[in-house]
Amino acid sequence: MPEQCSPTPAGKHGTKTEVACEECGLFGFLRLLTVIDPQGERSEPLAGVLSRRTRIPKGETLYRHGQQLQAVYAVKSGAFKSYTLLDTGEEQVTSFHFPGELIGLDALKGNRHQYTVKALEDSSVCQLQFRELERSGVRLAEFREQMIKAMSEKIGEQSRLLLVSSRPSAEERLAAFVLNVSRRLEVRGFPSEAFRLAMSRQDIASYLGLAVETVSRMFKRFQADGLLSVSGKQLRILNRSALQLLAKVRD
Amino acid sequence: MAGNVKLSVAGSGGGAVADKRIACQDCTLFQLCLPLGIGEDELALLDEVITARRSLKRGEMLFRGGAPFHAIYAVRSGSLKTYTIMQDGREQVTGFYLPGELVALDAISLGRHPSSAKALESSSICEFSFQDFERMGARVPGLQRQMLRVMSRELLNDELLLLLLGKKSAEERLAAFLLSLAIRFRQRGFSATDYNLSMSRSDIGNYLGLAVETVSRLFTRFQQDGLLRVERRRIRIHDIDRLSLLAGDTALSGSQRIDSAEVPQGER
Repeated sequence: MPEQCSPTPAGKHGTKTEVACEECGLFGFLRLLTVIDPQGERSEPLAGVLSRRTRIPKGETLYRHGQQLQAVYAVKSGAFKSYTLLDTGEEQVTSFHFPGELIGLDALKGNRHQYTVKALEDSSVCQLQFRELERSGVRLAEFREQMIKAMSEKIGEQSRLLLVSSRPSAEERLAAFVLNVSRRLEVRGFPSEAFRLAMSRQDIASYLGLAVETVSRMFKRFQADGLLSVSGKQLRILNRSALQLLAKVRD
Repeated sequence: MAGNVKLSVAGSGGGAVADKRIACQDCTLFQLCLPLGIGEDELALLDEVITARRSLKRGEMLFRGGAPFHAIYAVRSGSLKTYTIMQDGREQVTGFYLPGELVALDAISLGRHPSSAKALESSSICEFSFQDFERMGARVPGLQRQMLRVMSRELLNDELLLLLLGKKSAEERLAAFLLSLAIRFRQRGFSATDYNLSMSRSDIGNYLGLAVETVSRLFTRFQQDGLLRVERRRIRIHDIDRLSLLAGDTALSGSQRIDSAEVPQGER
């Protein structure tokens, strides 16, 4: 259904910043949300159910812990982090979300969000409005079928993430993390060898359960060993197989 | 109808569900598996969807990684582990499945199984064809809704574990693991403080990224500290508050936190 999607604009350096609709986790829903008029022509997806490209500036919150589920979101561009606040007031990062990935599926049970989600850089999201569904005339059975597929994909993603955080050493964990990010970008049609890490070293450390200094030291060591190069947030994988060997994962 | 299902803990010996042809309405996991308020006719339909009820011996494979996906499995009794084989040929445990949980949910979107599944002990499972499930979805919307709830719960449980595993020390990781099992048992109406660890110490170590010796040493220490009692595979948690504290339970959000107040007197 590419005719429904606006062309993907190129980013500052000619690199693409938006995920193509076909690569997006919401794409499967598009078919269900599109009304075909008697002439057989497709119209825009049902207004009100799917809202597109809402801009979320860097540092803005998409939703907060405890908030009621209103919509499921797909990252269109940029990146997000989910986190929870510890009693100490410290942030504990629970996950990162990249373009094409769905956010909020875990709130289907209980109808409340368990984590707070914040934009790591200027980002945009497309939203599937749950409230509007019932009265939109969508074939709900097919919709749920699609939802089940989306959840299945998410569950697979989660178990790969568990592999990352279960790596015993700091070195293995960081290597597994870099490969995981690379794979997720590749799946959605982004460059997977050279990319930008939207999250801070602090976020990475919090997510992996490592000290910030350890993360920085490891990046330096990986660089010295010729595994990758980092400059600021730009990362380039130079020796993927060595990284895989280190991470002991296939990711 | 839900809530207050009190079941005997798996491994309490004898009397295990043995009848393979037992109908859904007679199953102890009925409330966990099926949508609330499902009617008689719909129940009959469900018996159509469930193509097989099987028993697995300890160590028996349910499916292999890479195999095409046809069916979803519900654990009725016993437990399973899923794992993949790493580049260096070693096994990496990717998950454990307890009674009332569904196995292979991650295969729906892929059309094949991303990991292999094996029984950790004598187990019984229900198998239902996903194709039939989809066909029935339109007729019994409650089924789809229930599936979505179950999947959402699985996502939450995984997130919780991810959160807990993002901890630095071996001690915190093992405490987090035991706590996450406690939560999963409780969600299914089992005791949160007295359960069987069907997985070996080496599976646990593998899953948590710890050496087997570390896992064993920590169990001994937890016991000395009065946190819990271990008798081979049976775990009795004496001080769930301290275990939670150790696991960094402050990170848990309300609905997932185990409050000692919720643990019935008999279990404390």
